[in-house]
Amino acid sequence: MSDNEIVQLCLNPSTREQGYKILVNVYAKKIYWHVRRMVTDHDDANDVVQNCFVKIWKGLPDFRQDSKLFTWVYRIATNESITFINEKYRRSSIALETEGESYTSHLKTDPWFDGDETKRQLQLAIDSLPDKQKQVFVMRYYDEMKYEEMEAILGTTTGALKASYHHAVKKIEIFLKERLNQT
Amino acid sequence: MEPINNKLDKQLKEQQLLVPEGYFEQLEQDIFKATTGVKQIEITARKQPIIIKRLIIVSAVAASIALVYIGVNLFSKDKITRLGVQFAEMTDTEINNYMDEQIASLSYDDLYGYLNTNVDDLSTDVLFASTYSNAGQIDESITGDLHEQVLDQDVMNSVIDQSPIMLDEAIMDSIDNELLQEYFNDATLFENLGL
Repeated sequence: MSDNEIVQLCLNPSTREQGYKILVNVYAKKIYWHVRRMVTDHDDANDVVQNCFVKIWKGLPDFRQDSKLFTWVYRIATNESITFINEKYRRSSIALETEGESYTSHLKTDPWFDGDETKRQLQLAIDSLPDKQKQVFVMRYYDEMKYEEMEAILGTTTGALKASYHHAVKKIEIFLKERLNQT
Repeated sequence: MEPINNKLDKQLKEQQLLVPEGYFEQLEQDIFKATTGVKQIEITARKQPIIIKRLIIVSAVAASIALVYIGVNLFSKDKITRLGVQFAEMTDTEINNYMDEQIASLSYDDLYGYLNTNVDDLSTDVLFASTYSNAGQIDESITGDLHEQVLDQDVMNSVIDQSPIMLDEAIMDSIDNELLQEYFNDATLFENLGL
């Protein structure tokens, strides 16, 4: 079923629930991974995803179709992820670098993170990026989105997105060189 | 050592983030519970139109039955989890609309059955008989019972005091007027009954 057909079902009050179930079936897994790569922790991702779909359900009656369903859903997920990350760091009041050290320790014991020391450092490198660069990196590298799609979701021009991605990759490279050379 | 770019490329693409087994199937269920389940109200009563509308007493009794009926349905074990929390979150308007729907969905049989069990037999039969527009619909056994029970003056008084017009003409025709006169002291009652 196409996104347009799902939207039509969702906009009709008598078929909204049916349309929503199809929407969840189509997008739940994609949104989970998009969120998970942003927040890293499985339990955190689970919470954020639930919040995303509650917002989607509540927002369905007012969905004006001025953007594609895909764009709208991903925008909600991205915003919810950033909000969650900011809230988490605000509550902990720990600087990113300091948080990074304790976060590496957390990754060592996290049952839902399967990686050796190198992979842990890679995850740390991604987590150390500024929010916007992290968003762009995750969407471009893991979700393999086109710049045009990212532009619609993030509201940033293609040129700025390419620049962000380039900077993100460079930072990760430098981070890993430093960390791997230390070990 | 591999150039950092190649290592980055290979390592990053590899999935190092795991999920519990069966997680995504459960995720969909959890999402549905958190969202679509909030406003859902299941109405399981049969949708049959009420035919008793004229009598004030029957209407009041019907409302009482509906409250009991709704209470039994709301707090049955298989529904308390789904409906208990949602009912608490409903607005007054939603609750009233729900009760109106429950009352409207009660059948004639439901009401008669309840009244027959919980209300005096004479009152039940008289109340229901008074809704018949065609005298031929009245069951012979009802009129037969009335012949005996009419002797109970207190019962007759309680029925007539509440609504003199409840006794149908067909019922009155089957009751001996002299017998009635023995038990009613107030002549105006007969006038109200059209005798």
